Amino acid sequence: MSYRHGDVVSIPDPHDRRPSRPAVIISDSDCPDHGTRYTVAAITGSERYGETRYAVEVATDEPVEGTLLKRSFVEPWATERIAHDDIRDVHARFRAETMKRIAKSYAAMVLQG
Amino acid sequence: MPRHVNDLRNGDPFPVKPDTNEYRALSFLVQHREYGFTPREIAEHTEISESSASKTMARLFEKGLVERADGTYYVEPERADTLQRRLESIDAATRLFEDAPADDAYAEPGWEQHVPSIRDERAEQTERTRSAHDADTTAADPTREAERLVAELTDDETNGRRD
Repeated sequence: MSYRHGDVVSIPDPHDRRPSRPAVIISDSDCPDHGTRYTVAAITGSERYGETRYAVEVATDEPVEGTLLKRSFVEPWATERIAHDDIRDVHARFRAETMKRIAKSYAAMVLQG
Repeated sequence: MPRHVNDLRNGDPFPVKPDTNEYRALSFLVQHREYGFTPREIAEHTEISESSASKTMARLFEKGLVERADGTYYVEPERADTLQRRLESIDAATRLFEDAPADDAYAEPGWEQHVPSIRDERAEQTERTRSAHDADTTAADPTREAERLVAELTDDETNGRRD
């Protein structure tokens, strides 16, 4: 199964020491290698991280499919490229309105950083 | 209807962990894909000790990640880009974990069990319902939408200065 723009996925620890980490896929089929590699932004449940300037708050039941563990925060400053086979599962999918807030945070970071 | 290749394969984890001799040796061979090296030469160019290099290369060969000819190891040129992408992905995933806070519910073991997978229900989705979801999460014209967001931000900033 390939993953889609807005999917909330879990990424296992390459060292196998810690539980997997959640992230949201922000790339789409117009990006090179989509389906083989995805651009993801990290997600945290840490209120401390949620207080940082560019964190995007997402409510537990906000996704259009599935749910989050709790009120969570997308971290645009922690963006990485992950291979399809390094993703374990898909747990939720963000709606367009959520992705728009994330886009706005990226734009703010680029323009004002 | 044709199925995406990702629907037909298992997402097996990469059989090499970061910060190991196997990782160092494979990275070295991928970076120098035009050449083959003996274990001794690999040891000379990496942090791997000469005594460990032969065993390390034998393990990589058994895992099917490198080729061997006349005691020399190399990566297949056709596979070098794929291997490089996997190594880059491992590095990227490692950074995600290094950036992650400890005071986080997502750092608790078993959090995935409280947030069920939607993989199965997605597989059952018909093309029609999938299109409906795509319509919700895909902007009609992402470029124009991005321009509008940037304009909105600039207006916010201008208004903020006036205030």
